[in-house]
Amino acid sequence: MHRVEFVMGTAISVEIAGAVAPKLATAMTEQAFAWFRSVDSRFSTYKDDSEVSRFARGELAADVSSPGFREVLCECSRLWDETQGYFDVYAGGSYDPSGYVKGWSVQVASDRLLAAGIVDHCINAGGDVRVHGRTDSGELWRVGIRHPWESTKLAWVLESTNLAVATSGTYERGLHVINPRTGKPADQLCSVTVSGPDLGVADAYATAAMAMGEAGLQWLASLAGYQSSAVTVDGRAYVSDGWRSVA
Amino acid sequence: MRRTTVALFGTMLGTSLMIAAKMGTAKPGGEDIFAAADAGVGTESSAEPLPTPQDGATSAPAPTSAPGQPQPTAATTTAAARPTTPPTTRPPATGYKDGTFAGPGVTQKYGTIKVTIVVSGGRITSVTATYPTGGETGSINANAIPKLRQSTLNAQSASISTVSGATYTSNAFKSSLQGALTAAKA
Repeated sequence: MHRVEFVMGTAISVEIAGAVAPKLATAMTEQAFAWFRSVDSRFSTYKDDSEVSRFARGELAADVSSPGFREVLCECSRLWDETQGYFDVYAGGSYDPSGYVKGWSVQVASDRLLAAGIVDHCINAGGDVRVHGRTDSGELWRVGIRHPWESTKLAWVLESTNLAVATSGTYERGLHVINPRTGKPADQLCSVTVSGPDLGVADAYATAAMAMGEAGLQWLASLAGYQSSAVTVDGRAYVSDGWRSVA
Repeated sequence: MRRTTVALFGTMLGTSLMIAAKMGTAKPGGEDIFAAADAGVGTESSAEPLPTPQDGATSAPAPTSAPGQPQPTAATTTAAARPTTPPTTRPPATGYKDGTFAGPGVTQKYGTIKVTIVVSGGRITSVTATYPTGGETGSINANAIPKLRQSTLNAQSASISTVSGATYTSNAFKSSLQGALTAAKA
């Protein structure tokens, strides 16, 4: 069962593999998209009445916001600390947790599928990927990492039964990551991919490394439990010691 | 799930081959990362070197090597050794003096790095480095002694389930590889 919807300004695909009763697969897929739409309505920076917009305007106090909103607030604060300030939801001036929310929402959706007994699934939200279990043909999920300059080619391929893969790059929407230390767009790396157990964390790590620029190549290597790859604007590619590309 | 070979879409990409040629010009060696980097972080190098037990001197630049001293090789060349503890033995004719030697501290964009070597029996038996841990510039280095290794960047086609990449807009998705994979699965 495979379905794509356009939510959060991008395409989200939910694929349920394995032997799952069609009714259950349909219900769980619908539940997943209902969740993504709910996240979009609360966290979109493009919607004036979202919690994020109201919070940014000072019209919403954290203690009366939704539980998910508070969770994101706390996690982003922790990640700010963990990334030495480079993952900064205020880097662009006003509160914008987008660098965490998309990955986090996919992780939550994946965890919910798992809790419902749907072991074999793959969710891809605009290039942030969470895979679990196996494909319909019983194989490992194969996650291609897009080549930064050749849009239909891959730079690496990861294989797994349980993995989150987040990529931050400049090739789709330009220099959109701000270095919070300088206030200027980060322009030294054109692509950073982080893989590991949690997609929200991987998403934030990838954004932080982009903001760091080439110094991020060292920082990424120090991360426990997360592997990474990065490409500089002049075409140098780097991978962490535990990065295992199968192609 | 039906697998899709990405090569099917390769013909769409004829125009990007010129860009691909850039990949051949990738600089070898990741070691110039310090010199090339300009993350806009702490060009003032405010971080102090960590004090080390054998370090009684400041981090003022020292001559690159003591006269007549053999030039250390490989990892130690960035910080020339200078004895800070009395040598325990006379130097072998072609080797180094035994003892512990702290380098002068080399200031990089991200702070000051000091290399210490231990020489025993005329051979370097240990090389350690202290990295800045305080201040804005040091914070990135604190736990990051290793770097990512330089890798080759190939444009390849492979059988895959899904694609991770920078976030595309809904419109860009339609002409993306992930969009094509989705169409193939539909």
